[in-house]
Amino acid sequence: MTRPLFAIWLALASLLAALAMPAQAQRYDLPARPDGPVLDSANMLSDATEASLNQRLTQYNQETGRAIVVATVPSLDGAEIEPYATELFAEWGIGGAERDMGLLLLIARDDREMRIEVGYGLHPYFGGIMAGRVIRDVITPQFKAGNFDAGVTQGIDAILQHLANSPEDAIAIEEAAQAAAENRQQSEGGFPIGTLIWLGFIFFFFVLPMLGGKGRRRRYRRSGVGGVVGDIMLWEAGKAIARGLSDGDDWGGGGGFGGGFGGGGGGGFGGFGGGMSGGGGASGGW
Amino acid sequence: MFTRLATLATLIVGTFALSACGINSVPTKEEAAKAQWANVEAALQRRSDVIPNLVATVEAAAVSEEDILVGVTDARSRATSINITTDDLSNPEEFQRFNEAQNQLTQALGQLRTVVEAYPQLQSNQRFADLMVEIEQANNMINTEINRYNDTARDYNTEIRTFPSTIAANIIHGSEPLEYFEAAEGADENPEVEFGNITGDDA
Repeated sequence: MTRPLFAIWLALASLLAALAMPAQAQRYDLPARPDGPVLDSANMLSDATEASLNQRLTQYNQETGRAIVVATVPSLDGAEIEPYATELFAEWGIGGAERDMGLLLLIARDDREMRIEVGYGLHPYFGGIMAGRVIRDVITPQFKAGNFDAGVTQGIDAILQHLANSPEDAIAIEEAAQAAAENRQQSEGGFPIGTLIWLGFIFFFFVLPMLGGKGRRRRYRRSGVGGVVGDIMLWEAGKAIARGLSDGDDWGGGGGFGGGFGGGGGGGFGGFGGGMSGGGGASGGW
Repeated sequence: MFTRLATLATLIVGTFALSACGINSVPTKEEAAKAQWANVEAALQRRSDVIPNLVATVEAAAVSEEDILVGVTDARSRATSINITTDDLSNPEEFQRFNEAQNQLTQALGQLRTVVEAYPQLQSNQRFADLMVEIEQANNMINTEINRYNDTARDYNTEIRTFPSTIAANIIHGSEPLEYFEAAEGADENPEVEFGNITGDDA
């Protein structure tokens, strides 16, 4: 009896080892994700500008599914702005995971640098050349004059105006609505029921019999009823495990992962849906 | 009874244990790395496509840096002539050649960028500015996709060398480690232009 049991524990241990995924290394000290589309951690924008951008970009996200996010940071801490922006984009998950309709305007105050990072999905509509023109012709002149509010507002105007020429994407809109809904209700952080079922399974069929010792096992063998009950229990446990495992897959692979933070009242911003960028866009300084 | 129970349980757990030894995870990670390699190639292709336009624009602006322009054009045709299939990703020599050719192109473009800074009429040319943004974007996309490729390749290489997946990797799949794409030193910086190189003695 001991040898099969040992083999089972070995197998279980290897299963656990396989499940333990290596964590992705964090390369930069990134600011936390805001509730809405604007993060002004460098205090470059006036409250009125921030509020109006927030309102406009949230509404734009609901209407088109595209997520335009503005972020100002005090400093890049010596990092280059391009990889920093790409990392921040992926960390916040701007745009939906399926369509990647996201765009990030990142401004580093002390480095006097900015970047428009464009998500994979939006790149065909708004490529690096357009991003470069917006930075060169619209934002930089205002920033040089110290008009940060006007620079950002006009820059966003120019971006939205150009994007208005391209058709909207129904799936992206749906993804944004989903991400907004998930933002509004606090995420409960998914309890691993599958793991619980596994533990229960191990407890009932391995730990209890081991504790019960030989006397109990003999009793099983003597009574036919006990055997049948055991079979039924095993069958149920097997089904429960199958259920638990398939549930687990759903949690892992879900497309629009909204993340666990509470959105502001009245129509949350749905722009953080797990989108990625591939380094497209343009940078500039002032 | 309990023996039967244990047999059944062993069967169930054994199924998972088998999948834990890498039968599924090894090819999954290999495919992930190869799919990411396709992104790298797309980004490289993107850069390659922009270069003829850029060279033409610089030539049209009557820039007397013929050597640099020829250098860029040559480096581009060298880089595009070396094609790499996903099977070559675990072939060190072939991969090395490809890697070097692409890095030479990056360096040639960097030299061009440094040299044209001396031409104000080119700097104020809208079309030239657009093309430079496009080149910089392509370079940045290449860097991003290469970093992601290296990450997935590292993930796969770790997988096939560590227990328990190494069992399936060696016995069933016969897996070979993937090569990493390495950027040339200082390729992302503005290179110091040495005039011996520019005049073509060295290139």
